[in-house]
Amino acid sequence: MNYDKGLIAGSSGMLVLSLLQEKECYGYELIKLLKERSSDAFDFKEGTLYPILHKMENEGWIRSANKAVNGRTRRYYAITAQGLRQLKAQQEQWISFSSAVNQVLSFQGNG
Amino acid sequence: MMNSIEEYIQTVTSQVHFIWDRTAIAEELRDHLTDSAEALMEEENLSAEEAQAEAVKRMGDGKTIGQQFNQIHHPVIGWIWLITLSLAFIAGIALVGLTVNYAWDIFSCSFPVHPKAAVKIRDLNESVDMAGHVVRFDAVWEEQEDQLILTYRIQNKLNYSRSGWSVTLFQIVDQDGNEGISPYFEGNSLLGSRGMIRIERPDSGKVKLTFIDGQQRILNVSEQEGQP
Repeated sequence: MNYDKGLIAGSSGMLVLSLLQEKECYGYELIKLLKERSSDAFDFKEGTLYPILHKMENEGWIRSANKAVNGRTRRYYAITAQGLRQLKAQQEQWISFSSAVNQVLSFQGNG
Repeated sequence: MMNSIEEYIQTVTSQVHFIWDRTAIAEELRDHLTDSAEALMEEENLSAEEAQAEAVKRMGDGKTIGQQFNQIHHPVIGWIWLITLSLAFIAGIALVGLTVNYAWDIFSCSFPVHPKAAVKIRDLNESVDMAGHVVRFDAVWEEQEDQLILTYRIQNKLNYSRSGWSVTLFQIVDQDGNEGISPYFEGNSLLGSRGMIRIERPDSGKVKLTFIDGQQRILNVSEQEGQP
């Protein structure tokens, strides 16, 4: 299924934060996880992930460090305390927003 | 010939005007594209070239992504960050340097000067208080046959001028009316200074000191018994 680009852009930050909540990841790893978890629904352009990551790092929600794994240096991202608070706030927003949207949609469907 | 991965990386980074961040971005993208291409070769049975091209295609338009990077790695913010960092570094070094310098000056000014290549011929114990500024003469030294050195310390009440101009607190005149050669400051600190004055050996063995507040002292500068 193809989703509207705006919908993906708005929620991708929250999705990345929720993945980083589990463990620290490098960019390619995040893409793989996003595809797996969403059953390939999120077929967004992989390159767009990195400006999002860098922006979140500027905001202080995540921090990055270079790590050498199997002879290759990768940039790992980890969530910060501020990022955890941000994730919680975004999840609450998302839940109340989606339930409001669902209410309107189901009302129309019944009517 | 450049492969499609490097070509793509260059397209992206060329959009980033703050060139200091280009290398880090390039490395991260190269990592991703290499991982992606390797997976495609394995899973989709693509040739190396095909896999690289497909990995690039999945990244999205290089110019658009480069522009997104440029908004985040903004030159103004980048420069402010770089400049702030280097200024803080310089300030830190300067602070350490000044502290060491001040501490050394204060420390050194609490000891009498010891002139090089001169022999002490008399200990002096003469101090003059001028409204809190205390001038203390420590010793007379023989540098050459007719050349003597007086060493002194000044304890300042408070000295705001660390260097540059300094008030001449006293004048030395021998009995023939010859003035001492202007004081040479050995050290100078917030709390005081120390130095030495060269004078010609007076025939009378005595010099007269006149201080700026009018006080006068006669100093005996002849060789003390028991001194070499």
